[in-house]
Amino acid sequence: MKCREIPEEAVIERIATLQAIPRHAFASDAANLVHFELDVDPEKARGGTFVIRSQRTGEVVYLGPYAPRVQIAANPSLQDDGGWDNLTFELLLPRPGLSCRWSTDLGHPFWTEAQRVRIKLMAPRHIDDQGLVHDYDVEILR
Amino acid sequence: MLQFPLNPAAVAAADAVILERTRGRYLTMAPDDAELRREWVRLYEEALARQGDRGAADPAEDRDPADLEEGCPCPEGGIIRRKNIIFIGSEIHYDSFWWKMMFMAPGATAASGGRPLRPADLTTVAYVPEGYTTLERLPLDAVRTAFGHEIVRLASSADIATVMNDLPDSEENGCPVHVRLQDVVFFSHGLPSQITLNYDGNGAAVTLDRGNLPTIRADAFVADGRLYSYACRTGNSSWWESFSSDAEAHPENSLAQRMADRFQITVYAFLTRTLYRDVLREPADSATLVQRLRDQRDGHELEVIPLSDEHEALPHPGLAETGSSWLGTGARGEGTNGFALWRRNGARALPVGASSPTGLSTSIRTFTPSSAGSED
Repeated sequence: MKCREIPEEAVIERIATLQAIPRHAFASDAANLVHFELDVDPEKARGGTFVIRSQRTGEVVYLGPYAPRVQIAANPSLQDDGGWDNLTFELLLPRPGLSCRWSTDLGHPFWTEAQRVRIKLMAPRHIDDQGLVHDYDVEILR
Repeated sequence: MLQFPLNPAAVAAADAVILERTRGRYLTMAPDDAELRREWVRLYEEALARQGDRGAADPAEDRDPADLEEGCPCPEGGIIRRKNIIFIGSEIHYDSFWWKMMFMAPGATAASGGRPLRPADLTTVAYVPEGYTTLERLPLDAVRTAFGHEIVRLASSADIATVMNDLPDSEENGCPVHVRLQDVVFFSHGLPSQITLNYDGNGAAVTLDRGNLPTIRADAFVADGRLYSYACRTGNSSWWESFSSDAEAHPENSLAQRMADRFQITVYAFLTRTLYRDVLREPADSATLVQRLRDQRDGHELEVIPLSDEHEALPHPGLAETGSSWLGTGARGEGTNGFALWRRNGARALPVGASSPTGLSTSIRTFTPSSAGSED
C-alpha cells in the first residue's frame, strides 16, 4: 500500500484523471460475474472513491464508492488467456485528503467466471529480491 | 572543440583505443574519467585528420574521371543521417531509495556512448519527467551539455510516435538528406507486450503497445536498425506467471515481433520481467551504503550525501516515506526515506532477465522480421 496525504484539490484532480480512462464494456451475462472481497474498513473509506483498473486492457473496471464486496461482469477480452491480469486498486478520500494505491507485480487469473477473489489490501507492502512489488495478497476462492 | 554531429568512423576509431584501455567500459562524465575523455578527444581528432588526409589524397589516386558524376556527389537515395533515441521511463512504482534512478542511470550511460548503442550522427533522449526532482534530472542536462543531445519530455503515448517520427528531410549542396533511426533503446517498466513509460504515474499513460505501434512510420529505421527493450516482457504476449516452454509465451504475437516486422529491423527484448537490481550497486554493498546514509543524514536531509567513491544519496523529499523508524519497518526503519541512490558514473551494468514468470528463457531474445513481412 502506498498512501499519501495530499491536498483535496489533488485528490479531485486524480479522480478526474481516472474518470477519463476508458471503462470496461461489461458483459451482460450474469454468469460472467467475478466477486471481489476487500478488507479495507468501510468506515475509514466512507465518502471516498474506489477504483479498480485492469493493467491488461488499460481500462477502469470499477469506479464508485468503496464497498467490501464488488461484483464485476467481465467480458471475453478479459477472460481469454486464462483470465490473467494485474489489477491496480486506488482509494481516494477528498477529506482528509488521502490517496492510497495498491499495485502488485505478479498477475493472477482474476477473470474466471463466477469465482470469488479475496484481496488483502491491508497486507504489508514488500519488494522481494527479484524486484517484485507485493502491495496486496490474492486468494482465489473457486 | 568537437564539431557535431560527430564523424562515426572517427568515433569508432577513438572508441576502439579507449575501450581496450578500459577493458570494455565506456567513459562517463564523471571526474574520474576526465583524463580519458581528453585522450578520447585527441584520438578522435587524429582519426578525423587521417580521414581528411585520405580525402585530400583522393584526386591523386588513379581514378578514371568518367567514374565521377560531375556536380552530383550524392549517394543513391541521398545522404542518411543516423539517429539514436534513448527512452527513459518514470519510476513511481517502487517509491524507493534503491530503485528510483534505475532507468535514469542506464539511460544516461547509453547517452554518454555506453552500451547498447552504436555511435550515431544525432541522439535524442526522451523521458517522462513525472516523479523526478531537478537533481535527478541533472544527468540529462550533463549529456545535453557534453554531447549536444536533444532532450525531449514525454507526456502521452502519442509523444512516443512523435519522437520516433521526427525524421526531417533536408538538402545539402543539392543532395537530399534523410534522417533515419539507427538504434532505439527503452529503459522502462513494462507489461506483456506493453512498454509502460509512466507506470503507476498520476499523469497520463505513456505506453507503446501493439495498438499504437502503427502510428510510427514503417520506414523510420535504417536497414541495419536495432531496437532494444529493457522493459519487462516486451517479447511475451501472455499474462501467465508460469510456463513450460518459451513457445507458450507466444513471442510470435508479441510487441517485439510486431516491431521487428513493422520496421524490418532486429529487436532485442525479454520474455521475462527484467531485473534492474544490479544496475546501480553491487547488492553486497547495500548494508554499507545504508549505514553511511544513516550516519550522515541528520541535519543534511536536503543535501547530496556522499556514500562511497561511486555512490551518493540525492535528497528527494517525500520519496519512500513508508514504515516506521521506531518499529524498524519500511524505508523509515531502514533509514533510506527521503533520498534516492545515485552512482556518479551512471549504470554499472545493464538490466538482465529476471526469474519470473517461471519456465521462460531469461536471456535477451533476438527478434528478426518474420517471413510474413511488415504489418500496418
